[in-house]
Amino acid sequence: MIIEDLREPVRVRADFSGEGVVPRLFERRGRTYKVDAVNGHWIDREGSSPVHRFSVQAGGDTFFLSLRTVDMTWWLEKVILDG
Amino acid sequence: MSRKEQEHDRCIVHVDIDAFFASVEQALVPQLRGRPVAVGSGCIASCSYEARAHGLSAGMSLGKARRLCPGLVVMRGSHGIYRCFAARVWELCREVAPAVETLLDDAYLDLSGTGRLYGDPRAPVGALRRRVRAETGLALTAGIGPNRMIARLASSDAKPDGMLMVGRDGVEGFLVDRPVEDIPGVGPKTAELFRKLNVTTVRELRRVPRETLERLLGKVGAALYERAYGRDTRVVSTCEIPGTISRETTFHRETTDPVEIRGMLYYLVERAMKAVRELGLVTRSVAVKIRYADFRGDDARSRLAAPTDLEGDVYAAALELLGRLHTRRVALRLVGVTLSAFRPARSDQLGLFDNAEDDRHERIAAAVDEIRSRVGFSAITAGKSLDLLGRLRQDSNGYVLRTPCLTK
Repeated sequence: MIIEDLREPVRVRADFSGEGVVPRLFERRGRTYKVDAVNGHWIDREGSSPVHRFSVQAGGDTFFLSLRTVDMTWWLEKVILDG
Repeated sequence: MSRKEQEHDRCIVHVDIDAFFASVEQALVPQLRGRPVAVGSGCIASCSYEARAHGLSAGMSLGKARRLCPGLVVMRGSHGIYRCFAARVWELCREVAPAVETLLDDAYLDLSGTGRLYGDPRAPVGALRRRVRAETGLALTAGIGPNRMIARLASSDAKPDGMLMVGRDGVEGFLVDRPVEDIPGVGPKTAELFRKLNVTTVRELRRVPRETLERLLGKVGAALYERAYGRDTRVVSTCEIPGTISRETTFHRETTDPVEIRGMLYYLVERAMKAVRELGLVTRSVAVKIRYADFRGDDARSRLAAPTDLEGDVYAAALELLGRLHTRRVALRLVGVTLSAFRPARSDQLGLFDNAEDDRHERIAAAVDEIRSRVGFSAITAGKSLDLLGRLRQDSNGYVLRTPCLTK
């Protein structure tokens, strides 16, 4: 298992419904990843605006995404490769 | 309602998040599920049940853990993630119970007086456990009893991922044959004393007269006498005045460097004092704990001249204690700070000699807290903890310590 800390901006297509947000697809280095499952979603309220954080499963690997509500930008925080 | 009726109506629930840090890692990273997982760096802060099956437990060095369990997966851990998960679990608990007292990875819920609303308490507690599982992926073990002690013991028997209710009528059978160490307040020293008296079970403890226990152990002896009969009047306190606030960590590398040790001591004081101010408290007592590389350790406590919520006074006292404790020429493995004797800051008596300098420090501390709560703890690095820059990695929540610290 390989863990890479990235913290890089990422393009995400997500569903916003009611109070929830669910990432569906994201693009990284020219490749599109389909989110197979959301492993977990938690809200970090430590800073001035909440940050929605997700652990998602895509193509057998685990990706940690975050949505900063202050500027509505998505970030890829970490990837855990099944190696 | 009379006091006796109130006592009869008490229903306390103790809930415990099973293998908390490791379970969060397994919930978020499916590759870890079913595998032995430990969280920590240097030593185990938390480990999964798969790891426990190999004899691993919290506090064990990772070197030893890897020898016992070669397939062990070690995760560094993230205090920020665990804090968010704990907050969500306690939020769900507060939707069920009128009073909730939260600790590190466990909590007490007071369901007294909710009989007409819920009927059998197992129904709402079972629903709570299912909801926690569905929303967070975490297993919550629950013990239900007529008081804190019985609820706590019931949850410990129900682990992992279970629920056990001990009714008022079942307390006698549940308690009498348990080892005396199960009674809250019986630590290693008291257990050793009891062993010398041939007291190893609760049944045997009951044979010791109350007066004898009081003579041996003072007020604690009287409380132990009551608890041996299943009586525990401690309330579930929602008031956030903790008995102690502790921050401790092991060093990434054992060290003799006074700059690093003092820097870490200051950082731990800072973290603890931030918690003190967030609760609107002042502290009157500080203790410092050290452990040497050879695992020998010592601690010392000191009473402050006046209650305070500022780092400066507490750090000065802590530094003096550290100087008194660190007498051997051996590297340190761990340092820790514990604050106690709290009271609300507002009730603090006005001093005769309060001065503008104190006001200025209070305003600075408030401004620093405000910035840190908006941007993250690392937004400002201050005082002696500046000496840790370059030695320790920082994320937005502060320095990344070897042992993830989530103490209350």
